[in-house]
Amino acid sequence: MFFQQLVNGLILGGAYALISVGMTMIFGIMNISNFAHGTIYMLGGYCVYFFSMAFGVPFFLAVALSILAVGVAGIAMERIVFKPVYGGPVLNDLLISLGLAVFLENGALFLWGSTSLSVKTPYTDVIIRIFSASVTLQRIIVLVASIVLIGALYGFLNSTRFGKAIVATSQNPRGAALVGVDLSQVYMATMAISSGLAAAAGALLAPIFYVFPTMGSTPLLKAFVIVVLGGMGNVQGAVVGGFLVGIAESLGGAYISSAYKNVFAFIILIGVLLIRPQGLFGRSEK
Amino acid sequence: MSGRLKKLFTLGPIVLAFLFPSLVKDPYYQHILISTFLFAISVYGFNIITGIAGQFNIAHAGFIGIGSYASALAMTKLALSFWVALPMAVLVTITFGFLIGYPSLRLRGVYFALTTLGFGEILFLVFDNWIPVTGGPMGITGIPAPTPIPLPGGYQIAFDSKTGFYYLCLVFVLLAIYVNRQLLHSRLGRAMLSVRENEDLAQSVGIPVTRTKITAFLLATIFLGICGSLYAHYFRFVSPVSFTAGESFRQATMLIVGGKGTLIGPILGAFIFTALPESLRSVEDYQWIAYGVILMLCIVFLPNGIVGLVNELRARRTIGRAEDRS
Amino acid sequence: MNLLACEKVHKNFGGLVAVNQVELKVDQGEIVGLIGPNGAGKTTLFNLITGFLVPTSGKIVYQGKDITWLPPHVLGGRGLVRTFQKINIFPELTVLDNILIGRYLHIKGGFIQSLLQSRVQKQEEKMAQERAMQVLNAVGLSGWEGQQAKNLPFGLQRALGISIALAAQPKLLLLDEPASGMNTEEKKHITEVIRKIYQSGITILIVEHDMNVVMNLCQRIIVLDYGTVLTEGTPEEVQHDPRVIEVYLGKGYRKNVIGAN
Repeated sequence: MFFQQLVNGLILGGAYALISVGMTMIFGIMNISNFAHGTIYMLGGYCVYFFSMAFGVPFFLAVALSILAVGVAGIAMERIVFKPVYGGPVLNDLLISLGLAVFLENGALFLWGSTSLSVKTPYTDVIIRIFSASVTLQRIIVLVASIVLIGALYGFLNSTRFGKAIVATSQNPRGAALVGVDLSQVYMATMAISSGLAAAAGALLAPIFYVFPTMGSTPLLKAFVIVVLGGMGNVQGAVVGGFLVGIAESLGGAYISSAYKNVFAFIILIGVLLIRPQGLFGRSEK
Repeated sequence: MSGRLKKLFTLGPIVLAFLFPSLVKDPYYQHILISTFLFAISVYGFNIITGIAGQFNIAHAGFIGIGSYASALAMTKLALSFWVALPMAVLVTITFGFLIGYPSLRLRGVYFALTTLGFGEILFLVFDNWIPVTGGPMGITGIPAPTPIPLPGGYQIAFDSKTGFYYLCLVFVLLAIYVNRQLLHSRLGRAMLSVRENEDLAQSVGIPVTRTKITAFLLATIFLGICGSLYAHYFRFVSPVSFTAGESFRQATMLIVGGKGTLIGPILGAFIFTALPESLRSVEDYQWIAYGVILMLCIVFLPNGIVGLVNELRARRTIGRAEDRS
Repeated sequence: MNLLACEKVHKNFGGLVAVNQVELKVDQGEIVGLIGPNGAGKTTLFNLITGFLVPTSGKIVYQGKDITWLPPHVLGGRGLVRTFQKINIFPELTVLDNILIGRYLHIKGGFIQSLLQSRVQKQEEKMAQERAMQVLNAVGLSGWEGQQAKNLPFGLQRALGISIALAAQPKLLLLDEPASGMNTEEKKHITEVIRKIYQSGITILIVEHDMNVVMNLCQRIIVLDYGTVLTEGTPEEVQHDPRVIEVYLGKGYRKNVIGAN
């Protein structure tokens, strides 16, 4: 039982890491808290539904297309919603991203109704046994895809010129601008990556957890906790934090209480804020 | 504006408000005003923590819920008088405010918002699942109206009619407005504004930023407790769905559109978003999409709300006139 | 008398040494300049002194007491006030309200008294407004009191930043690059403002890049480089110190190029 929950936790953790990495990047580079991040995850779910169920596209391709579509949508959101509030008080970007979230969530509700949609793939029925744990192939795919995508992100950030420019911006925006980095390109790219990864999570998990307009609200909360745990702006932290929270939740839900499963994330948040607000890896700055 | 005109504009609406139930007997319109007042009380609380001190409490509606459930339970389960239930509800709300505010307000604004986001979720979970106490999704029904106040000669002030309740809410709204006004003219209110505008600078001139934020939050929760209690005993029914993050968002829109940090903004916003949806029942489906769009547009084009816009236009006119003279 | 003393103040950021065993003294009634090339650690030192950062090791003493671990607002309460180089105002508030906020420590009467509209509180508010107007006029912001701070021209925003600090009645005023980004006119004006402040009896420690401003105002200058105190002395001495010239202009310059008046 313990091992089973551990495996479940790892898989959940991978998806959490995918969602949180994008959010922490937006914090670190654009200094914005994106409360619409959960709804972007939700859009990924709806995209994969439409591509695979309505248009019959094979699952993996549907996921790729969803990442692309929502990534582009993310750029649009950055230009239309976030750009006007750069440089203003922090409260304004909190509020405007919340407005975006309400708009997207209720838009989805209005367009597609509240019924949960199911995304069928051949992988949800294939069960794999790893020692004493059994997992569906779909879940393994989620974990593998998460690792692949995060690996790709690392590669991009560390090895490509543009990726390094993004990292430089997160450490010192003025310095980066001085050496010729185009900040608006960096912001658009960050938003595209963040949205794409969140959409990937939504798309990969859709066959497991169904698709419905409010599916992003709990992942949003978890992502915030993970980002704080890992240190705001810290990509490594988000990955490690994602796995930690996934495992904690899985074990907590199994051994303590299932109904209040989401409370564990909150307890972790309060704990971090009381003991070490800069998170596991964050720089300690005032 | 001349002193006499100013007095007219301040006392006039108050007098009208007191005369309203005698002038307008239609219960529908009385209901609209009562609802407006109810939400205004809560939005004035929102104004203190978010409009003035600049810290965003996403669990805003959740705290109203704490006040509602506490007051409802005090009267239904503990058979207490409303006049004990109300202060109790306020005390419970303040206590949670302190428990949540203390660890999170020590840090930058975003951490407080996140903490309240999580706390709001927890509250909803508790309201929805703790069936023996909160009744779960079915909520608490049969909540009594406020206990009548006995008067000499066998008379009493009753609150089971709309008129009675109207005056009860009016008194608390006026209290909320008064507290907001005195706050804005005191050094505490200015300290809160400074925290909103520039925490580091505020600290350097000796303002205890954390203490100021916590004070703002506790003050706000007093009004949330009051609103919650009144809400429970007006609608006579509470359930978890009234206290979600969505409702917090709706009231945030009221605050921003009305004008954050201003004196009239909160009640203006409360009125617009109470009266309008009532008359536009047919567009109920689009309502939430509209809220999202309105808030986004407002932040970009009208960040200080309607009252802020009016103030800015008046300021420009004065500069214009001064330039004409020179 | 020693108003401020830094004793072997040291600050590490991970592997980077930002402030290196700095020893520094400011006597009451002095006006001291702190100069050094970009990245020399001047702002970090300011942050350490004013409680926004905690030293890795070392001690900071103010008015004879150890203040190393005290937070900024407590220091503000003891008369140690600083200005900021970047966002140094309360943007959405009016100019008068900006300065009024500086009066926080000197207004008696809490919120309860405000609710009860006590006479004491009303009087305190009136006095605070008058004092704020005095500061406003002294700094050259007459006529701007009702304007939103963010609408002020840049040079006046700087003046506003200084007046907020002034309103708090500091004993030791730390100015963080008050003249940065200003044109010659504005620099002349701000130099006069700072001189007036100094003449009113306030001790000043000023970080500044513009050599003219520094040489004209300061009696003593401390030079920082790579977080270490390079030298200190009168403006004359520092101007002619070859090490200082080197630090700013690199080896090869032996002429007196700094602060050509």
